[in-house]
Amino acid sequence: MKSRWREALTAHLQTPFVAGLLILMAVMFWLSRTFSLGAKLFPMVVAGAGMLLALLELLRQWRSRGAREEQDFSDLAGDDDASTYPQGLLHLGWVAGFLMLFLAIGALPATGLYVVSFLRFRHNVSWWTCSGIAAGLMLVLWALGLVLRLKWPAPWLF
Amino acid sequence: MAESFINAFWILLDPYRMGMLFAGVAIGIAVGILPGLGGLMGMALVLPFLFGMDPYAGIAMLIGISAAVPSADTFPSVLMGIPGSSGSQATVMDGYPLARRGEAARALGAAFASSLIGGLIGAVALTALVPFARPLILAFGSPELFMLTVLGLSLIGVLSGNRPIKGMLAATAGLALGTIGGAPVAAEYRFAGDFVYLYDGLSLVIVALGLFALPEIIDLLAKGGAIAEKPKKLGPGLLQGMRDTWRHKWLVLRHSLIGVGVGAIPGLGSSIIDWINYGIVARFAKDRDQFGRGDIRGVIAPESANNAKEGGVLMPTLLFGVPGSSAMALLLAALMIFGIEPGPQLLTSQLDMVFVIIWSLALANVGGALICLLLTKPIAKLTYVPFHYLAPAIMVVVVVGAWQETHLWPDLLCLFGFGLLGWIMKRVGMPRPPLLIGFILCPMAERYLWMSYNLYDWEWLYRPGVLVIAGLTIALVAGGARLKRSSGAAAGPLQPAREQAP
Repeated sequence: MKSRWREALTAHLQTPFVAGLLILMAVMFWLSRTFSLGAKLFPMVVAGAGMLLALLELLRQWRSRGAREEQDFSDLAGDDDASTYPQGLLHLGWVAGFLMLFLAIGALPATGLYVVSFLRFRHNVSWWTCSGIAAGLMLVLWALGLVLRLKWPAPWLF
Repeated sequence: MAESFINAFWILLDPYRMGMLFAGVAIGIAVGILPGLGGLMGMALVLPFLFGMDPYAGIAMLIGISAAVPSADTFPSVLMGIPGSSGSQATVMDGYPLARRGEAARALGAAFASSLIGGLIGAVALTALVPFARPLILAFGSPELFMLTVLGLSLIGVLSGNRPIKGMLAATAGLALGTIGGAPVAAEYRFAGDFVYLYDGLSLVIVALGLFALPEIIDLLAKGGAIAEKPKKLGPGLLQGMRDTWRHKWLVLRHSLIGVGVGAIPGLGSSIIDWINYGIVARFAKDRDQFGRGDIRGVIAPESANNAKEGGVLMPTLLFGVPGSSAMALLLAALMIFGIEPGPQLLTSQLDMVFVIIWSLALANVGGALICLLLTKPIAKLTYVPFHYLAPAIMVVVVVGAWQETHLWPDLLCLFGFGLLGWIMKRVGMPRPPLLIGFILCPMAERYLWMSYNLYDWEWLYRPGVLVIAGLTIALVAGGARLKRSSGAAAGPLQPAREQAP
């Protein structure tokens, strides 16, 4: 049941995506009307072309409904399997977690915590190895910060 | 012009700039050996750190990355049968069977030697074109330049993915995103609401990192990062491979020239250049029975073309300001970061920069291929490092790079948003390069359109130059799409041969 739901999601995600683009283009066209000529000419041309293309794409999808869609081979994406969505979303969650840590506790502590927890709990790497990698990465980051005069976020929590 | 050519060489010879060029080559090799990453991601990773850098050094670094990737991506293609990037898919056809019968070093030797020669031919072809193209480009007005931008975007949109309408839609979405913020020709803010962060528009670095870096990392991790497998022995034969290249020197020359020609068509080069060349060499060779089973010519032809195309993709990029590939779009972006306007102005006021780019391309090709040749064994070992060890480091660089934009939390929100968008675009088969290129070309396209309209009203549409470029757009889009379909069809039947290889 779960895998059938995932397959349906993969097959049908493109239609809402293009429909979403169509809506965004229409909103852009509508909002552009209020601008001065210099500011509205280009967005209106782009939004008009975008609406036309989105409608053509929706028509193409409607005409080829039921057929399996190829993925973009220039992306080397390969075919998704049943685990692509949950695994991808899980890793997006890890990214989101790191971004929040980055803001909450600062760049260097967040890096250490993220690397250790990601390698240890997600990939079962030994404590020694993940601590070593985390320490090395923090050191490199600290040195890069000095050399390139990078700016770090002021931690929200302290 | 000759003076600029020589002057550029001395500019690049500065130790700091040479250091940056070879740092770029090292990064290019690192991302090239990791399947799924590639030059675009390598360039996106360094883009945030270019601010404040010497322009020549920064550009040399980016060229170093883009020139080294087509050489380094041969490692995974030959050793593991996984293309290192989209440009080395056809190398797998004969490179992997050679590796399976213990001749990996021979395949790599031939690939690097042909890459080196191909890359140099690409640089020479680009140099030869500059004096001829300059007067033509300087004769163009705003309407013709706008149409050239439309031509480039249409080609990239149509040829980047499998569905032309989706590609065009992605390019239009990129243009739409580029309109957020201050209008370039009127004192108005558009689509920014009360969100001050958007008044300057979306950050190119964040859009590039989000669209290309995050989805690749997530996909490689989600699919288990199939990089780790039992290392294959390289075997002897590195010199034999180089001798093979010399034995097939006319093949190298022919496919390098094809590589330059195909690379010069925006959007066409990167994804199919190897298949076109593999198709040609397999179709016109007298003895064809070994293709797909380990014929060295099946490695030499795509690899020489793959490196030569870098000279080709730079042609529309430098001469017209229309990126020949998505990686070249980032080069244009870098030029903008340094305050250099891409397009015809580059050929008038920044000729030194044009030749620095060409010299960088030549030196990076030589350097990249020589490093790969001399350090084949240690680099080959790096190919087998499991991706989950590298992913956190790349992720940290991406986030730190994004943070350097404005040092505000919306930087990270945008990074995540574009990462999610890029990941979804991969799922729905919507090509991402046209979106990025549309976003980069937006300010230029808007300025050209406004100037054309201001000067000629809608009469500019009937100018002879505009009509010629419009006709060229239709012909190139139709011809390119057909060429792409036929190269895809050629690739299809050849695929099983690899599976049957010993």
